[in-house]
Amino acid sequence: MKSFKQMWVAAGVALLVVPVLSAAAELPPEQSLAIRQAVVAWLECEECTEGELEVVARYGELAVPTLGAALERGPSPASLEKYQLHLESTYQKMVEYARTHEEIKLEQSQDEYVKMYLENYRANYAVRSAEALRKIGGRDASRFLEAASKRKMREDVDTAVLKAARSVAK
Amino acid sequence: MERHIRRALAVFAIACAFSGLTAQAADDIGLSRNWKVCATDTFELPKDIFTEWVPVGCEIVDCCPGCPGILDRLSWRIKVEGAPLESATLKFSRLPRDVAAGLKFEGTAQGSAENLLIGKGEASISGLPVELAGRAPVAQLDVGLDQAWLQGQAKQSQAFMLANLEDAGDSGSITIEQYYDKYRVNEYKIAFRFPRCFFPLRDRIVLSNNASGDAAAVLVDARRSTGCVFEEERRGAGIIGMGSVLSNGGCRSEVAVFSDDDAMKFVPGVAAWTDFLGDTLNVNLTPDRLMAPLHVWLARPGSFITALGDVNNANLLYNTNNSGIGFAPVFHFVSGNPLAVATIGTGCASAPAVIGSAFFVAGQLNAYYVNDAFTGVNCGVDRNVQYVGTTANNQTLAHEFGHSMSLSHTNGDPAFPVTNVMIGGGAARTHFADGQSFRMNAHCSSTLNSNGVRTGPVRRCPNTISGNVTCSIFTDTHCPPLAADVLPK
Repeated sequence: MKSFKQMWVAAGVALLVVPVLSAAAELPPEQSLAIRQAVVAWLECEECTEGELEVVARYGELAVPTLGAALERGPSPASLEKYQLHLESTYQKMVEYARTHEEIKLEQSQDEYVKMYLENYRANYAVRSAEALRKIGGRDASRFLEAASKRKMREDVDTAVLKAARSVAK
Repeated sequence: MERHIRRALAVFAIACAFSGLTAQAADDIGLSRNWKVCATDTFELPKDIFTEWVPVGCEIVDCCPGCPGILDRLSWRIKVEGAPLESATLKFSRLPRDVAAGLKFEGTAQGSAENLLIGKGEASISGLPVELAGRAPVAQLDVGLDQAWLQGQAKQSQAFMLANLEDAGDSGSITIEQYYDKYRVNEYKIAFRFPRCFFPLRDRIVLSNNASGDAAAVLVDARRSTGCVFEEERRGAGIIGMGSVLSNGGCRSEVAVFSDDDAMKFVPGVAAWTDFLGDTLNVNLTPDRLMAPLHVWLARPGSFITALGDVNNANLLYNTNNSGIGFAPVFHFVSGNPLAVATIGTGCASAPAVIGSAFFVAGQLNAYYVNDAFTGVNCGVDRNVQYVGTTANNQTLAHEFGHSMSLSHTNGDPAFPVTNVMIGGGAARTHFADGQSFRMNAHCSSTLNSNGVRTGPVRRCPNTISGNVTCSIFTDTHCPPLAADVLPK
């Protein structure tokens, strides 16, 4: 049987820990937004010369679930839709433009054009999220990378994910 | 337990580390679109200026990092602001019938999911889905102009006909924020500026040989009765009214013209203006576009179709944004050549070796399609060199060409919407500003000049990327602002 003193200590610890745990489960909206923006900036940057990866890495474990989800599931349906609408619109403009500009040579259908770039978009999300998880490291990041390395994806993505999974600090 | 405590401590540590950084306030949302429209042109504008599509759902796949509960429904908060705008109409598609029927509208929203009118002010929609199988639902957004405001413009135009100066005009915006509970999970903002561009045909600029007959954009430095003016923006296909322009006096007098299918025409030292009315500055837009020779080295098997798509889009973007630049590609199929693949490598670290090899054409643009998972990069060792990886988007090559022609990133500059080609990220970039087109054409270290594709007066502009060509310190540094005419089309 626990002593009265032990019970008081346990209750004290519980009082200290519960608010901490609830804080861990729920981030303030401002911080949630900041993490989202940092992660998206990294996942979508071109040359990534503005320190995008470092900003994500500073969030450490807080960014890991979002990066893990991006590695597993890719861009959100809304972001995919935004890009798909852009690709469809671009293709239509090129068709129109090609009528008066012979330097435009269309050798793909609209569906092929859209599919090709959407696949690259998904691949970029996987490669970038793997890189960020590797940089952050830790047990959760490692788990995401390990799970992803067991899935069969595009060759370039597989290579990048495997490289990240092998070099992540656990 | 240990993990939760570590996580909680991480929350605290991060909160401390980022205590100086607060999340974007709603009024700091980056512009998705930013149109400038002469008030008198509003009846003739193409529909796509006033029609947009806004996908329903979160920007990122787990929606909101660290938000509690089960993500089930989203709400939209919509603001329609500014005198020129009367309303916005939303037409949702791909919403299941029961979801559409269950939407709740508040504020200035009236109607149904198929046709929802949002009046000026604030409105909200609740009950939108977080995620559905298949393509995300999307709302077609149509912008309605205020008819009373338009009529007022017509009256005021007469008053402005008597003046010479462009009026800053009115502006309006539409903001859509998507929320899960109190967490903002996506956002969209479109802004319109409606300057009054009424200029009587007293003095004029007359354009000839306008190949496409488009409404060319003109930036003018000159002297008016109010003093020296810089980068006044005008637009026209042939005869462009200037009001009264005076003799140069001590003012700089020059004109830059940007037009589809024509090279940028830069006329420094204009001497056509006098203190009398009826002056004409003739600007011949010959030659047509400047076509930059481009060598595309396909070191990755099967990359031809991707490269062709990228070059096509680069040609479309550069010409339809009035830059006056095009790209004439020659494709080199070298993926079966081990020496070529080894020499080309996979990034700028290999550029010095490439430059000294047979797989590079000096003094021309070279783009290398390589087998490595990255998007793209332009190399500082020689701005003629760019690498494109396997995860590039359809604007990556066009973006790298921008660096090649001296442009730097526009990240963080609120004047630029996220659709600017030189934003260092994003996947739906469609525009250059005239200030950027000026630099690509006239900046001394732009490859267009260093490669001899363009001959003509050059400038040493601020807000450019460092290049492998050093500009003379004696080169004139006067250039339009980078964001001049931020959306020329």
